[in-house]
Amino acid sequence: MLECRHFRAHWSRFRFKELEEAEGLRMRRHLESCRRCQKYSQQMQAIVDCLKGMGKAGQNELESVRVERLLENACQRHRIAARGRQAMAATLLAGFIGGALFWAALDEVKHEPAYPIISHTQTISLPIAGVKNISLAIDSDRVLQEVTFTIELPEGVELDGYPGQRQLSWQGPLHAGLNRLTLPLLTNHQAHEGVLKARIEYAGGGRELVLPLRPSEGSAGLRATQEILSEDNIQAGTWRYLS
Amino acid sequence: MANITHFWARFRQGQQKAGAFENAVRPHIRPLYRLAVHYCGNHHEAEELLQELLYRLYSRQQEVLAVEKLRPWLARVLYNLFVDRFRREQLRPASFSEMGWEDEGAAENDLASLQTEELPERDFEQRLTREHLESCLQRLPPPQRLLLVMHDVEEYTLQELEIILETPLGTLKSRLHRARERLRGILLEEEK
Repeated sequence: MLECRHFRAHWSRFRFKELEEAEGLRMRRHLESCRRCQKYSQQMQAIVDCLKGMGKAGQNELESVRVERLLENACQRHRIAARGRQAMAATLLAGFIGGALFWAALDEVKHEPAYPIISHTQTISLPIAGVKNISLAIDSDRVLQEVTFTIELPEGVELDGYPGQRQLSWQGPLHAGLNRLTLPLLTNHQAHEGVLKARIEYAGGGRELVLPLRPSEGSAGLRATQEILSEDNIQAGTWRYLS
Repeated sequence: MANITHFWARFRQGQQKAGAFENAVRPHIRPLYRLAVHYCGNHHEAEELLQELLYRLYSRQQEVLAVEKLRPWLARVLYNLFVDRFRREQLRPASFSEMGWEDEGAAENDLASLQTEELPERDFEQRLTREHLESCLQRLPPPQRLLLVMHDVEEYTLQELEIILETPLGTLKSRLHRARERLRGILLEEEK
């Protein structure tokens, strides 16, 4: 005979016919013989029926209007959120583009020297495999101490006595008036057309002169161009190509 | 012009998709609302929960339209949403699904399981009104309440509940029985 405890532990499975036939039969027999379990079974059945009835009672029902309103509200919220995301994406994109432009501009600024560059329009011819002195003049209206002089040379051109060096830099004073700088340029067979850059940098400014150079076979050298310096146009550290 | 036509076609396609989504979801809103009322215990919070669910579903329209068995799927999403809220409100790190099942295996020792004789059966059944049962249901631990509501009230099948609650069939059956027994125990306590 089944115990009441066992019967109650398996009541749901018995009620919903989930037990094997033999076990179901044993449960049925116990139920028929036990008044306490009959009462238990009736109470459990009443609970199950009442729970089922709750679902059919029609309470907690939502009116059609409210169903539509719920859908509408959710749709609207979704659209607002989507617009917000789009706006955010647009802002981020704009920010990114702005940032990129800013950095590009900053990069330009960083690479742009803080002093004027004077480009000599006339190309200077240099003899191949020979030395040629060129004279540059630096005008200054006052004495400048601790000026950094830099010379950058194109490929195949070097200063005589400084083999393999395409950039030379040194410090020294700049006198008031005309300062002459003579550069003994030595070219070899690898020399190509290029530019010579002569630069001075001092506290508060600087100047750069760009001279186009072209090696030429059998050139007679550079034609001297005597610059006439007038007192009016002399500024601090103005470069000139003399000869 | 080609770009404009393309854009317009996409816009129309989006609108059609939204229409299909609403048609797919609309029939499930009422049953989901009933579930939500049982979960939350009141209409106001239930509506809020359902509103949140629908809002989230709008951003998963394609997924919703691709679901084969939408009824248990939606019930599962609602259940998860409720559980998340419940956890947040209770600030309890414990797994929600484990709560209320602490007495698993000890159900047979439940005091209520053998309490029957004191009350005549007619009293028990007469007093078993919908409102009374509803208030007793609220005294069940949330997981037991939700399981009973989903199976016995809303008539989700055990197979559907397997998907919704991600729980094996056998466990579901024994949990259901324990939940009914516990509810009976609460009802008998109330009778006294």
